[in-house]
Amino acid sequence: MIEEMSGVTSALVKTALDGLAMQQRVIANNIANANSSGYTAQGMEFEAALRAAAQRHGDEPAADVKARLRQLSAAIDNGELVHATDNIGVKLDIEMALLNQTVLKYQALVQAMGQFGSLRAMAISGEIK
Amino acid sequence: MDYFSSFEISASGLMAERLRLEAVATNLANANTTAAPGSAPYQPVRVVSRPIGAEFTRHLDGAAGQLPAGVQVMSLEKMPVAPRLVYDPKHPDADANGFVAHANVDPLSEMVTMMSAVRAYEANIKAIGAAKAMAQKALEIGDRK
Repeated sequence: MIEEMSGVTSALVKTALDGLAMQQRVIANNIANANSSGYTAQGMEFEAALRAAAQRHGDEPAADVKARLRQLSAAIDNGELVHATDNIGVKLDIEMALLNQTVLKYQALVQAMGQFGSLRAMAISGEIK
Repeated sequence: MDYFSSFEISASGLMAERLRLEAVATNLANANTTAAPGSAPYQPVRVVSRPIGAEFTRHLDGAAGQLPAGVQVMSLEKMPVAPRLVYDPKHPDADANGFVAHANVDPLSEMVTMMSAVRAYEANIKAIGAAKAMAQKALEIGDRK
């Protein structure tokens, strides 16, 4: 019921949060291996895949989009979007910048989700607080 | 997706960097040690680390889908350097020609290794802080405003 009310937003935000958490893990791994000789840095991009999964084709029911997002979520958790880059060695400055960016994006998403939650609460109670 | 794996990754990084630092400290502490004639003096050591699961990826030949798992210390390698011979005939460790074999520790490379280990240690701490900030923020999901 609540799922129906929210459309695809909840699934979309959940998948994005999963992606950011995995991105943090990839960065942490690069940093941990900063002094490993011959290590090639890993990278991960999920935004394009997320955009493709969230796209609604024609009169497609919302459930199909949600199913796609769930699939993408599982793929992210399995590390399927993690890839090796061409960079041998780790650029610590770039990793730190990406790390901060990831945390900020995550915090912004949680914030947005909270506001979305208060919209729902308003709809349930029928009164504006 | 759990946060603990991220903490574990950074913890493995901290451990590797601390060991690197300890290796440097041991090398510097032994910089002036000598060896009796016929035995080899102290050989400086280096920490060799590899990403966890690296062997597995090599078999897959760059295939995607490798979960990041942190770093592991493979070995403590002795550096293949010849002893530093100093002419000092009165030294108790002097050989028949009056040469004393000193440990051949290069202070320059030790200091550089130390610096990069300290910087990498700091970066690992930051990564832990980032995972912590995200986990803490996630606790706010569903909070009533």
